[in-house]
Amino acid sequence: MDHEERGEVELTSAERDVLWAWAQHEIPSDFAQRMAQLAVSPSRARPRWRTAGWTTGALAAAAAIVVTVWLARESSPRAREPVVAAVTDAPPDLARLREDVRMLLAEHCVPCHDGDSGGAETAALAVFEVTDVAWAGRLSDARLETTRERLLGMGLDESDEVRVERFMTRELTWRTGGAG
Amino acid sequence: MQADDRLLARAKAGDASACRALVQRHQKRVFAQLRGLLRPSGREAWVEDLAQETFLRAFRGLHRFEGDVDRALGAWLVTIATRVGLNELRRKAPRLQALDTIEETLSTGRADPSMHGRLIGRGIDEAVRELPPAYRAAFLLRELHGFEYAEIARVLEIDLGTVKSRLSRARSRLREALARTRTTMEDYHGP
Repeated sequence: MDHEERGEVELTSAERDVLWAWAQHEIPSDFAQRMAQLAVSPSRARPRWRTAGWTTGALAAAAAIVVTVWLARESSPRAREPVVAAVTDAPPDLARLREDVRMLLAEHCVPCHDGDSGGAETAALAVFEVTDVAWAGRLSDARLETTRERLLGMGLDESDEVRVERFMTRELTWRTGGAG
Repeated sequence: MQADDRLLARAKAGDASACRALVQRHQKRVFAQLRGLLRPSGREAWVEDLAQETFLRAFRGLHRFEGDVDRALGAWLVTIATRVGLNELRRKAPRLQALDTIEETLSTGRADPSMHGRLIGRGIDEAVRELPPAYRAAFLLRELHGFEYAEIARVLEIDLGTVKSRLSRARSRLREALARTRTTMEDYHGP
């Protein structure tokens, strides 16, 4: 029996054990704890291997964002509206809806709106960034509406579409002073 | 609702302790998949960072996950880890780690107790390194995590027949490596 023929046979459990042992990696004892913290506040996630270039990158990105926003304000009669609300000001149910939609954005709007990815676009980041928990408060009503339309055009599940609509209704109601 | 379902629901709601429990339950297989993919290319140092990226991606999409906390969630996480690992392998040119000192050890006769394990590891490295990244991933999905062939073909978007032939070759290489290790150890210690 040649090697190729023998290769047709599945690995034995002993061979799999050897392979499994080979693949074992030392896992830091605090890994799960760190991941759990990042899971509940994902904007804190910064892979170590990117950290070295992050300071320079962040400064450059911040400068680019400032310039882009300034240019947009100067050139457009529909200048970007001021921040309407800090995330901490939102009532708990709205904060939850904002976070739900941010997760959808994180899923569908990367890499353009993800400052952590190499594919982010400066102009897109100037509108919102998926790692920013206060993202909604930085968008004008018009921008929110655009975001809604684009999300709904991405073929979301029905339940996610409902989430988006609930968020929009609640957000706009709250902005106009309604309790919701 | 079963305990596992409650755990998943709590994690979806952003409960940190539930998230921690899910990570603890699945971290070994995520690390193993990433290590298996990266080590033969000399990128073992990236394993932890990419494991972090895997779990972060998973938590971002967890609200959409439906399935059991063990088999389905484990398979989902391993799938994400595979894609993260393959992205990493595509992104940068391979940088092989320095070779270890097994030959030197053999030539000087100072064999340490872990030499057998190191020899096996070296042999598997060589067997797996020969595989292009996608087939390396297929091999690991099959042999480490028990994925079905069709599932592998779907996850990696490669042809089912090609998956089988590549896995066949990888198994042969692995067996050759194990046989060589046995021969080397017998030469050294006697049969």
